[in-house]
Amino acid sequence: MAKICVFGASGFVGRALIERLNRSNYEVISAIHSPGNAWSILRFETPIVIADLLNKASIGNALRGCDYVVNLSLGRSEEMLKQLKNLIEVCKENQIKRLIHISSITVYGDFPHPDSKYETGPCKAKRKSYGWYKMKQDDLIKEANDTGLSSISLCPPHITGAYGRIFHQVIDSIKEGSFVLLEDGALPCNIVDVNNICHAIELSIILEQSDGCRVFITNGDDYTWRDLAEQAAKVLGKSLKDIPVVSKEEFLKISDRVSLASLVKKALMNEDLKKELANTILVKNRVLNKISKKIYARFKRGRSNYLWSPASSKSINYSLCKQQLRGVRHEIIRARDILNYTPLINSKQSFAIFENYYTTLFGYNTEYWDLVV
Amino acid sequence: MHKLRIGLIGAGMIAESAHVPSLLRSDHVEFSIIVESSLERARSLNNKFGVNIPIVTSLDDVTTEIDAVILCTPNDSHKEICLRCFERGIHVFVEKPLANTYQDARAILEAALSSNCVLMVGYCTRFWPSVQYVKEIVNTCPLGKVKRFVFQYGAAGGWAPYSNYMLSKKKSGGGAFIINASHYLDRMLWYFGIPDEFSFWDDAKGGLEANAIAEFKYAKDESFKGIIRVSKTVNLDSGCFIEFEKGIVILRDWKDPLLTIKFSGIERKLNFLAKSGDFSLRTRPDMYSCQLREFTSRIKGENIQYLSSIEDAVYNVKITEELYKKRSDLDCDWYKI
Repeated sequence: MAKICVFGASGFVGRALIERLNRSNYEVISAIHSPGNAWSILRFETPIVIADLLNKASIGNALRGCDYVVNLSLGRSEEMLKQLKNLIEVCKENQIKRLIHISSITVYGDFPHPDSKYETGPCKAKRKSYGWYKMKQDDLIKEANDTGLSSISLCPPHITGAYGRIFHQVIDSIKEGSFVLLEDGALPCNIVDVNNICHAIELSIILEQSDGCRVFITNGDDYTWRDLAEQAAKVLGKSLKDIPVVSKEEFLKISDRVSLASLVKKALMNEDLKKELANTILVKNRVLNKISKKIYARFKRGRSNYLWSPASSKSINYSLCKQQLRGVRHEIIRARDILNYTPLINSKQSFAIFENYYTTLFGYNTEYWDLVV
Repeated sequence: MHKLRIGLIGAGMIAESAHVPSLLRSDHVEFSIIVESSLERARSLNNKFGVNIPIVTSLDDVTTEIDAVILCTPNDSHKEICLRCFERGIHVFVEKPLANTYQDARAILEAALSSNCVLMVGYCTRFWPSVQYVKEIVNTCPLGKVKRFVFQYGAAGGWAPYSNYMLSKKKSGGGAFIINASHYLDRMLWYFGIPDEFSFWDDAKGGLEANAIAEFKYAKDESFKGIIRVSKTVNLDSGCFIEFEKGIVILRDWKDPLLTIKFSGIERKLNFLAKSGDFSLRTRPDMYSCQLREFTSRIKGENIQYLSSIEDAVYNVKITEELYKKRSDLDCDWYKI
């Protein structure tokens, strides 16, 4: 029986993968960073190992005797690279048969080039952004593959289904009235159900030979933001008619104004400026200090993600608009060719699973729902 | 009377974050000894608070006189330690739940009664004024009778005890429900008494549950029902929502405004009813200090009205045990495609 070690086993994809692998003919080790996060996998019988990817000994302890390693771990900036370098090194030492890594479409930047329809498109992530670090990780995966550790980097867009964050974001945004559809919602919405990404991981285990390059994994359908908005609005007892539509041009005009908010945010978060301010009356004076802290906290909560739209006379969610403008539909031709990947479910079905999860864990549509919302 | 000499058994997360600070703040007690099997852990506790409390690794090594202990060890060890303390005439404050089984809970209570020792369980949220005020609303009915209720707690991950005891079913006795819903069960029993019927769903499937829902029905006066929902995988607005005939009272545990009322869908602060006071996080008293004060008052036999109830704490264990026995699967087959 092949043995698989899953790093980041308690996360969004991890818990789904562990449940699926448990049903298949594999021996599974769940490696997690903190016992506080273990809850999502405590119901399974798989052994749980506490592992720190910044510590090679603890990685070795987790994956010793395993055939395959799946890396679903999260991390922050520079740490992400150190963690993956450590993991690759220990995988090599332990003669792991394959390392399966999860990349992200953020490597193509906020506004991807039309050529990023295919994996070979230009990576345009802003330096030191999350996407940039994911891109650097993909380079490490390619290098690992070329130097003897068979590796593959699966590249998903927003992962959806139960616990799907983007579904939560759109529902919450519609609820607070900050969601707008751009271009009548006709723009492509790239998502992948967590079952599909797990299926791709399972296929990556049995793959004969890997080339270490990125492979898009999506639901492979023509789901649009209009489809998502319609399904999300329905959860709230609303319809598409309740969601304002804004043209791309109008949004870009408004979004120019985000620069002011971003500038203030950047300024307030700049370490040098903070040090300078510490010597000024602004910080020495208690009242002013309190005010500046409040402004900082407000920006820290991400309020600069909201823009005022004169057309809809409301604040609009900037981040969700930006995501709509990505525009490109990532193709899964390579996944079909290399992995023999066919999505198990489509985007509409993925939302239906989310609705079931929303009912079970939040009480949506139950007789107590009106009490808690 | 001398200051009560109190020992701490188990120097884990709850001791560090709750009990040690309240022991060190109190004028009524002398923090006398730490009983902890890991010397390193106990020393680190001393270092963290800049104190030098004597440390022993076993209860047998406690040779100095102590009046009481605060017991913060894993749930499955409560019975044995409580009984040994009562044999020596030591009063016990035990972290919730009292035990993993009703049989153990009864045995602990009987031992406490026969040795004339005080036994108190750490249902600390009763010491929040907002929680007490809702009790008053339920009792005095200014908003009419109760129609429905929801108690809920949801936090994705978090709280990682040093011992990792919650990773073991034997030690914890269960998952999210026994660990987190216990406080809400306590409030439900305090507010409404013993339910007539109940059902239970969780996602344990033989392991430890991360999500659970218990539904309770009350048949007294006019019947009403409600649920306790607990999740360790999603964030929920933690607190309780009680629908009365005239409005919905919302009691938030960790978010201001702590207490609001909703009439016809419009929510406002609950400050127009008599004696409502200022219910905010800023002015909320430290619940651990309040419960320590009650524990010492009970030991001294002070004639005051107590908030804690050992009967409710024992019943809490009984009902939890029965809920687990009645468990059904929560609908969460999201990965079976």
